[in-house]
Amino acid sequence: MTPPDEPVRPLPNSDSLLVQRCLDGDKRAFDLLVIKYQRRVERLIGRMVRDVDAVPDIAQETFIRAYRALPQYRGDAQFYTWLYRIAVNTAKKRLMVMKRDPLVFAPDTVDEDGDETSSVWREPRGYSADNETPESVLASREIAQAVNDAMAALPPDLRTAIELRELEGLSYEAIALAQGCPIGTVRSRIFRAREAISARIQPMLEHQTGKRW
Amino acid sequence: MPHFTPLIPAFGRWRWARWAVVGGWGLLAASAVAGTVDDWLSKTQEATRGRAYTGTLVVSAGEELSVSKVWHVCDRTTQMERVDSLSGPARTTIRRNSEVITFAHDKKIAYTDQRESLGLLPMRWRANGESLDRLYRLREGGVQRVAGHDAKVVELLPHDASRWGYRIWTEAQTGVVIKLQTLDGRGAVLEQVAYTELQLGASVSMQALEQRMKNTDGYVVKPRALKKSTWPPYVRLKPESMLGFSAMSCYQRAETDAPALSARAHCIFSDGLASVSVFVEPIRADAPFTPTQTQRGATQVVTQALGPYWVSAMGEAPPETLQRLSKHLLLQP
Amino acid sequence: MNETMTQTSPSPAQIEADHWRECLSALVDGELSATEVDGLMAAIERDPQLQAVWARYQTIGPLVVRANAALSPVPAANDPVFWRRWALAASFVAISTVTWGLLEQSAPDSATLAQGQDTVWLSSAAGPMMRDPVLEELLQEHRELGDGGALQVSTGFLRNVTLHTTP
Repeated sequence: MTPPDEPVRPLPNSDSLLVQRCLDGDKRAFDLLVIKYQRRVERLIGRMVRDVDAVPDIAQETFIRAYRALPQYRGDAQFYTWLYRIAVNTAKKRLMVMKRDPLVFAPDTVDEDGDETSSVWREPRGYSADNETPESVLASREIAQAVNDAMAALPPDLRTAIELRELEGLSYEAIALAQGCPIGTVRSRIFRAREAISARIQPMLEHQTGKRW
Repeated sequence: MPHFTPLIPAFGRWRWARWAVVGGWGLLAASAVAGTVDDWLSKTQEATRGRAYTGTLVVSAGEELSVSKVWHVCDRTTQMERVDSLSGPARTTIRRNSEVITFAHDKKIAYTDQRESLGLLPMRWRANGESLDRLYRLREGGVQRVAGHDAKVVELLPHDASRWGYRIWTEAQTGVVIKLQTLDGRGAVLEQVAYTELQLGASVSMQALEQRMKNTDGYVVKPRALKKSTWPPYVRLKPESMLGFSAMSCYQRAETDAPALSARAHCIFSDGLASVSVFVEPIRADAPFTPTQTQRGATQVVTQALGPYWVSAMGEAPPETLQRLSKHLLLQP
Repeated sequence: MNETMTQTSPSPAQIEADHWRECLSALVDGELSATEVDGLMAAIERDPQLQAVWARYQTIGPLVVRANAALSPVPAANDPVFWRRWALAASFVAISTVTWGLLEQSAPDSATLAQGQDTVWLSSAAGPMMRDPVLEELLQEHRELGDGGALQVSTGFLRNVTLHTTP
């Protein structure tokens, strides 16, 4: 498996901030990283390991190893790329212990997380790695619709601010220039936009409880 | 040791349907084609008239990323644009219709030239009598949000493999082009030009731009050394166009320049959308060249020896097209 | 969301909760100062529910991207790569908004030249690239004099100017 696409320079996000904080001694920062990446790591491991019950365990071990190895993370790769490698290695080791065949990965398509995944694990045999039931496809469309509705209902300044951030990847400073307002206003607009979108879709997401990953 | 209790409700436990890719050309809703390619392109040209806007433009070509700040203003007779580089060397380019000046701030040189391709004549590409509908077809998609605007997305798909395809987003109200992708035969994106932010109806002063354009104090003014010329005798121009590309113009340096440079002819071709340049010069014994084939984003480069000539073809078209144009071009002695 | 429609003014507790959630939102984008992070960490310890808010905010970005693509699907295979590159370019644009044309001074140079014998090495965001100076010159001429036809006036000229090669 090849790690996810490495951007030329990292996007502004919280990872490096939190990693540095953790290295400076604040363990709580790592909690936030775990929360951020837990589901994604579980989905990744779930595609490699057929034993559904082993996944949370392997994910937990991944994060423990990452926490211990953090001093060696040099920040030359993106944090998730580094975490990805640890997850893959942890899963492989566990599979060998469980006496499964060594994995042969053929990079195939890129899934919704942007992670490459092998078609080897796609055949339906009780456990479907894709888990694309008609219900889940419909749910996805409904959620997309709800997000678009929420966006359309936002006041224009808030809508533009969140779009420039999430669709164009602009920093707050760049958005402040584009919108002709102080950075504090940009921060507030993005916060309120997130709250509004979240309020609309949260009930739908909670409805999805019970499905694995 | 941090605690890892997964306290979040299982909100992540649905999966997105994968948006399937059919062939290379995507799933644009097959809505009725509203008008021809010519008509649609006229509208994008028209959209640049009579309005002002400003924005940040990002161009991605292969590994290169270039960013600039753009100002545009246009009245009934005059169109002006200013482009300040935000990446790479400090440059300011100002255009007034087809007159262009580029201030290189680090070198304190101002390069001036005339660019024919920027005339205000509508549907210029029809001058050869060719309609772009012969070469491309239009496929309309829906609306997406780009740079904070509603944008209609459209694909221009080539009828053959001799040219690239395009995917274009235009602002829903005004038709201003916000984003443009150049696509290869499989629908892969070769290059993208896009505003990351765009303010329509911004107040841009044409007078200020004109003043700035004239002010060359402290800069050495260098006009372009190349002049439009007649086609060299060794170049063949078939009456009918080649692969849909027509001969547009030819440029050469004055005889007084370094003989090596003045012997080179810059022949320009276009299919109405894509531009190909073929540089032809006699091979010199003292300057060995190696044939190359490279690319820079959508721009392909093919250089080779053909008879006694060294031919460098480059343009926003597939390499095979460059090859054939190069070979077709030269009269063997 | 109508900002002016508050019947009663929010309680101090509400204001504080809002403040920390706004900080979390800024942290998602990496736009929080070190001192603010201090305060936020302490706040999360006092109120673990803020962790759920953090989780919620993380999901919004990808949902917005997909919802936008869902409006009118185009092949996304290449888009994630481009999207990251735009974000790179866009975020580094914010720093250089000086219009040096007016100030007439050299702008910060992100590309440095190291003159070699026959080749010119340019260091760029992607790392050093070898350039053939003759080809570079021809490419520049092609960009300046080429005829992009119908799209020249809308984006062709701007694209060519932005991609200038000769320094």
